[in-house]
Amino acid sequence: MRTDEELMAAYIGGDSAAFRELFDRHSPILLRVMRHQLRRPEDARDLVQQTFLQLHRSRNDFREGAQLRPWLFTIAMNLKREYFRRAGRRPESPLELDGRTDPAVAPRGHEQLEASDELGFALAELPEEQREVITLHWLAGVPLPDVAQMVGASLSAVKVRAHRGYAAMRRALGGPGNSEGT
Amino acid sequence: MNRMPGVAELDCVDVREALFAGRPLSAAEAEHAASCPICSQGLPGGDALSPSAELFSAIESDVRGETGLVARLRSLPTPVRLVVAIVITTFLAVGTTLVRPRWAFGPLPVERVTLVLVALGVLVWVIVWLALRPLQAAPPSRRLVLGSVAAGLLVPVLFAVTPPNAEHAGLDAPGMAKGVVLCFLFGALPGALFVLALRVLDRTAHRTADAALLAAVGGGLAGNAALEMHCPSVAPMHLLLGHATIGLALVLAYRAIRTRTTARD
Repeated sequence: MRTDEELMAAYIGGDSAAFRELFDRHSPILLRVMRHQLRRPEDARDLVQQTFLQLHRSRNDFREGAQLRPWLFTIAMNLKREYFRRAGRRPESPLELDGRTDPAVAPRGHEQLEASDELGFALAELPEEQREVITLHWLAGVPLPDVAQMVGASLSAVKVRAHRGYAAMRRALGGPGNSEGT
Repeated sequence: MNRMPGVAELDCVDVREALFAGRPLSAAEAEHAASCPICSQGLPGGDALSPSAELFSAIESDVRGETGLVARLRSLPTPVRLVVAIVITTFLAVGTTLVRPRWAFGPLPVERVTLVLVALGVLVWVIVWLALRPLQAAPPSRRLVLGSVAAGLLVPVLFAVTPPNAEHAGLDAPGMAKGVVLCFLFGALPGALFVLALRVLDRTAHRTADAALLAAVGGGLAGNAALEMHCPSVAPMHLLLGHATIGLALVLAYRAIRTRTTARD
């Protein structure tokens, strides 16, 4: 199986099938990340669409040795940040998180939906800086050093945000938290 | 970090990082993972959403539409886009100078003109660098962006109110109103062209508010640079109204245009 970076190199070289493969590989997780933060599924879908368009436009910036995933997620996070700034609103509880109303997303099982909704609400209650870090670390599976690079903060600052965010979410979900509040 | 008595010793961060590193969980980490409502939800990707073919078709359609000169300019590597922006700025300043060159340097020493041009040039460079920053890079700090905007608006004001030669300060007072309007228009034109150039080079076409704001402020600086090589006046009121206001006017005008465009979309 080709790596992300090999696929990107192939796409730059004119292999359009490589772009489809990158989409298949990364769009599910990007959609999930976006839908945990945006109320309207169509906005999440639109931001994922914009992210891949921006990936296409940025392709000539991609250099050998660079990692694609931090690239892609930084683009997505920047677009999401701008979405909230333009709309003049804060991230909201994911009321339409269940995928039933969005034709762009395949339906999921009922139990999965309930658990996802609870977590989604707990996530939505976090301050924005913590939510951004938790979204990338927990939902997208991005290691903290990469998260730090994506949000433009130091690793130690990102670690503090993550610890506090997880503790607040555990408390919200009825699990053990720790003494450090948010 | 301090933990409360009776609370799991490890945090979700530790568990996640262990999983990312591919190492097996320790006993304490496994204990936390079993009792934690977050970690028990599974590994990243476990409940990933499946996008439809329709979404990819929409992206494919976007990508197919990326043809023509504008698309080619936006897809250039970032260092090349920066150079193109600087070349365009230089061309605008030199072009306006050739159209209507400054007819006298008398009241202003060459050193002062050089100082103004260098200061404006440095600010334009910083603003272009910030405005064309690619989306795959972490965003610049708000302090840097707002500081650059403030400097871009205030430096022309500073030069306006500190004329080098006080005895020439009221030089063109009788025809001031006409001179102010002419200079404003003469500087606003290259300024607006500068904004347009940055919009063409910006990969989001100024959908990001900061890039649009920076472009407008940069347009004011480009206009002031052009005027520096055109207008010999050192009257503070003329410089303040006819030169230094171009940046603010472009910011307000561009903001209004973008608001109307966004509302229409």
